Amino acid sequence: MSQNTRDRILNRLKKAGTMTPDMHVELPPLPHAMMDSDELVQSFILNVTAAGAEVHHVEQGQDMSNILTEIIKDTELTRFIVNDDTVFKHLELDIWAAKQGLALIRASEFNDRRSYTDAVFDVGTAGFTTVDYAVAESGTLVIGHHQGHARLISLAPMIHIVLVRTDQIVPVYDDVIAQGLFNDEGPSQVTWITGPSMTADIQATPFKGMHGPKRLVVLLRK
Amino acid sequence: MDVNTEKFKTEALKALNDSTSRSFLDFFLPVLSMVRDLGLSSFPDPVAAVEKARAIRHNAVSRLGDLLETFEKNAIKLGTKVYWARDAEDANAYIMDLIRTNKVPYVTKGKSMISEEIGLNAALEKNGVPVFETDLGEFIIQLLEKPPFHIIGPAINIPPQDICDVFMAKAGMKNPTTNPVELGYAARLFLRDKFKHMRMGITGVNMVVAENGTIINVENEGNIRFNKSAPDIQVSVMSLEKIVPTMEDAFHMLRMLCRNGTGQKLSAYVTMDRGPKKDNDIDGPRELHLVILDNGRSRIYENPRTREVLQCIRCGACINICPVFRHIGGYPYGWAYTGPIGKLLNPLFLGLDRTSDLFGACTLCGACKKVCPAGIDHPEMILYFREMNMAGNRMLKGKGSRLSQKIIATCAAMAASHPGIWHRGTACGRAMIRRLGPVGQALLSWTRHRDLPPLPETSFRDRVKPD
Ligand code: SF4
Repeated sequence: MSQNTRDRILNRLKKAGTMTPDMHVELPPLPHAMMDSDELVQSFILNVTAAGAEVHHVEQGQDMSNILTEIIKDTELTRFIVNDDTVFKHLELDIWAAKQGLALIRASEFNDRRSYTDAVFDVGTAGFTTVDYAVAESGTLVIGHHQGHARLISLAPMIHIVLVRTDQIVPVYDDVIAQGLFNDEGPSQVTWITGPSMTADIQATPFKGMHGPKRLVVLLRK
Repeated sequence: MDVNTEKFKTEALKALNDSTSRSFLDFFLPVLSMVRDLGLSSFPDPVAAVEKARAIRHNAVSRLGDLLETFEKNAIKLGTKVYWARDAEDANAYIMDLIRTNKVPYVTKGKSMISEEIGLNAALEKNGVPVFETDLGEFIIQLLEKPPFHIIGPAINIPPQDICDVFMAKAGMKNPTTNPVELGYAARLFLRDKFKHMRMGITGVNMVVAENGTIINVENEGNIRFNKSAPDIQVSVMSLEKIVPTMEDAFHMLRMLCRNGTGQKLSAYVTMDRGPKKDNDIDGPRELHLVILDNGRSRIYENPRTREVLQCIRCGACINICPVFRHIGGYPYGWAYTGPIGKLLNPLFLGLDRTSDLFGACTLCGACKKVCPAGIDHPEMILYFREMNMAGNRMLKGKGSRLSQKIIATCAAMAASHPGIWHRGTACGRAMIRRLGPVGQALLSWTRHRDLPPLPETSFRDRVKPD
């Protein structure tokens, strides 16, 4: 059935064919294409903050510990789920978590999907991830999802903390295309996150945390 | 979805008298138009940015057949299962079949206009499959059994008390509240459980990319992300025109779509699917199905006067700016699409005979055409519909004209092409109308919805004529 339908549709579309010549419009580049690295960082911070995220600068492990301690204060958090990235080890996140009595689990460590789903949906869970890129033009975080970086850890918890290196910030979306995320063997999904989950569907009253995280915390390090 | 386009006039009258909705329209739509303008001003050359988007859509639609073929090849290579659906029934049957084969107990849905078009919810419910809308606005109107009020805010006009009542009755809310934020969290809690145990998620598609088989969705709440991350099976339904040639084009259209819809540079979440999950991924769908829906579009494509409508990206800018929509909101349009784009799409899908009041209720002011980032000339197509309706065009299901209308049109055409008859005719007409007076005028059907100002004794032409 589908094959016949397909052929009929495509034949019809092709037969009707092109009726007007292609239109061409030249666009001046976005200002970000001309920015130096400091300006890019500033532009990223401006845009990601405007989109509703919090930004903190971290120079070393100690800074991060202080910020995380502040974040978990007065919450019911019991565990952090992270993606696979050696930076967490390097920043001694495991040592800090152990001191706070928090479990630190990599999503890829779960044996089955059921127990992973239970954990990631639990109210006591926060998601902590790295990114593949960040884009200055709109303050967007780009994550490719694969075995080492599950989809739900940046979505199901109320808090998503994200570690961004300043050299991961690129000027515009187009700069990400050439970087391998869109190869056939690449990730099965690429997510572009610009701020926390939000809505204004009732009486046009905006609020964060509709289905995804209410807090998006960006930790920015050189 | 029920078709109520023939009730346009009565529903519009009701809407005009609904003060709650009117106050929302007065406030909400100008704000949306304003944030759109602000959003576009972040481009170095906003006019060129709009022109570029129009060019992308024009070029994509003019090569639609080839692009779809390339896309299909690339999508299949990534593991996506592509199904071409002839019409609504075909698409719904395919989805129902997937549900049966996989013994799916319920489905959740992301907001999608196309599922309204094909009446997916009703088709699934008729087969005993519970469906949960997961966009907050859609969830509310699903529980209230109401049509969408606005493309971006389907329930924006609903009083919080009504939402509270229906949440208490149907969504497990324990404590009554009219606080919008608390109501939102009640919906979050209810739907979270559905997301956690879901087996199949159904979403629409904002665009697909021919050169690499990518499927793109745009949203702010995260419900579409859940629908594409939590279940075993993902079904994405796209109308066949939602395609762009390259990633570069996709990025420009994303910039335009978000700015035109909500004024955002990019909405909170944009997801790009590249096939189902890989074997070792812990989440994501094991099967990714893409239904490519025709439902009459290839016929629309064949007609050079209607093809342009397929360039639409459903941004909503024309709806927000339309003076008619700003007065009556979305209910009177009576089917899936509202506002200026609804005046084009509903007639093409349902026939001119059932929708003549929709394209009749337009002043041809052109505000829609001016803002449209897809380059659609709404007034031009509306005039074409009016002409085809009177001419009784068979393809478009035109009504045809009554004998009296035919006589009037023939006489008017003759008079207009013979100056002598014209001058004598207008002089006679003027005298008659002047003699009719207000009571007589009230009897004319033409003046039922229009004012006929008193006519002066002599015509403008006579007054300026050199002695
Ligand atoms: S027709 Fe309306 S909804 Fe469609 S792209 Fe143009 S402005 Fe946006």
